[in-house]
Amino acid sequence: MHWINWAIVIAWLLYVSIDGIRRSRGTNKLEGYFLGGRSLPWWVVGLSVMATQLSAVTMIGTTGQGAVDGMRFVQFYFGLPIALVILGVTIVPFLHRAKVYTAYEFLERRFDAKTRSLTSVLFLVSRGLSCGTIIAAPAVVFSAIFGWPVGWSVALIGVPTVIYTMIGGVQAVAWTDVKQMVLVVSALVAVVIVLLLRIPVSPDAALHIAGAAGRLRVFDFNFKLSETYTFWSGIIGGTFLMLSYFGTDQSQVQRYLTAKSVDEARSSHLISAYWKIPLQALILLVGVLVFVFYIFVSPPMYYNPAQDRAVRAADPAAYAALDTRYRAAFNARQQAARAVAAPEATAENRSAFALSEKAMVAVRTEALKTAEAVTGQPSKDVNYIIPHFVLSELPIGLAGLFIAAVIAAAMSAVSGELASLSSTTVIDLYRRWVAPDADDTHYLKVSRAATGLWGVFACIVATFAATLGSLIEVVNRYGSFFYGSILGVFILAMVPRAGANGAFVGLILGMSAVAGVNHWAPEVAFLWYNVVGAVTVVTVGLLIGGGRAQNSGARPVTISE
Amino acid sequence: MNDASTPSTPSTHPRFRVLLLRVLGAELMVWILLWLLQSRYAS
Repeated sequence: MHWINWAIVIAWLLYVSIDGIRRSRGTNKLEGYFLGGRSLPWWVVGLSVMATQLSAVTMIGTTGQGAVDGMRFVQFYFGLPIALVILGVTIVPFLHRAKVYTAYEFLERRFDAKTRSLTSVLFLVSRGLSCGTIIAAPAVVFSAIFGWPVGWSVALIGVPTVIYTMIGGVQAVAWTDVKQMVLVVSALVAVVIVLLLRIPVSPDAALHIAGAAGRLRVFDFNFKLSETYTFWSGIIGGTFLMLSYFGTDQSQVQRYLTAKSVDEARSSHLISAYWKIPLQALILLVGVLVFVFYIFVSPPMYYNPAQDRAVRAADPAAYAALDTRYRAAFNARQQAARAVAAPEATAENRSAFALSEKAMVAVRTEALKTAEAVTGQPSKDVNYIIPHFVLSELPIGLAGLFIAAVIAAAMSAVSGELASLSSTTVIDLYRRWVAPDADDTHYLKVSRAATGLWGVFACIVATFAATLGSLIEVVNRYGSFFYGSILGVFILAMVPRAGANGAFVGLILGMSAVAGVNHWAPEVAFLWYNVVGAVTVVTVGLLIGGGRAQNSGARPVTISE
Repeated sequence: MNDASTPSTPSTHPRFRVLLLRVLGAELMVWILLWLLQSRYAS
């Protein structure tokens, strides 16, 4: 990469780190450190919420998905606005007025300590590991592209993030998130403009080509439980998932607890309700336009340079033969695309183009299988498409801006997760079970140490992500087992006749029901797990009932402590 | 509106309908735009 691009990346990292550390003012109290003194403006909270969800995986993975699969992934978010409105009048005002630090704290007040502890431990395990994967995804890609050890890329993303989150707390997280969001959106818009300028046909013709290749099919109204992204799984499963994520996941709850008032907390959520789907559509559109770009500019056979080197070295003659076929398929597809772009294009032209695209995909599938056989590792290279495009096609300066935006997206997601991991560790475990009567200064020290330790843990997981691959996959898979179930517990909390035993047994049975569906009906897409989990918990909880639990022995959970 | 232990349910909240209508209205507009994109270019 050109030195100017590196200078932009380093300047951004320095700016964000210094700005984050500067925000440590007012964080000498636990409330300041974890909740920013409950004084942040709604737009800061709202942008921070969006930034936490938008990780580097979104920047390189979702755009890559747009290139190979088109726009239909946007259906995943269709339930989000509905979920945010429901939360805006239920959980948000309630938790905000309850003056709690964490979502799980509320469960002890409503049910009992074991329900609180179980949900908080489930959160810590899943988020701790997912934090590692958030760093790992871009780190692995950077390492392959720049030829570094993975540990360097992990350090580049992880070290500044851990430092400013540790020192500045949630205030640093929220204010740096605002800047990261501005950078990310600017970089995406700039890339769209460059793409439209560099694609040698009009934007209208480019979209016709993308449409003929199936990349602009957004809606799928088939009601198939096995299909992950359909209108119905997005609306129903997605609503349940988003209710759980925004309503019960500490990484989101902590953010709206920092707002000045209930109204400001609600307004902060409306930013996501209005803008999440258009933003996601823009991200996918970048991928779709990159797909069109590579119809006119010869794409590499392997977007991952490490794969390319390995296959070329293993059997140069076979590589050359495959490459010749790939280039022939590319030329045929380009010709067919030009026919589609012409004003007098017919349905036959579109069919011919679709066939040529299939032929191109067939050669690449063969190439990827060869890479898998040579390297012994999965050859999926969706995450490498956009970085390859950025580094080889974007002008100097803009490439650096985009790489900085990818790092910014990773940092904003990781910092939010670290703050939530630290608050749950300290409030729900340490203060609840280990040292209930210490003063703020003590808790603050422990909180900073917890942030640092979770940061180190995430970096270790990220560094060894390749070897831990199957373990992380298992944990992520099991993460979706309890997301809906935890939502079920919070729904039960709103029902006066639900009791502590019902909630706890419901939580266990909800997770078991999802495990059962996963085992006996593995074809059911994961978005439906949230519905199964939540419905089971609520049903079991209501059947068992048991009246309101008493907080026997539990300390009251108010901010004035 | 809420006591200290139980959140309100959506249907009883006075602002729920207004918020829901506004957000669903915005979402509907996005859906229409995406639908137009699909029907013009992908059919």
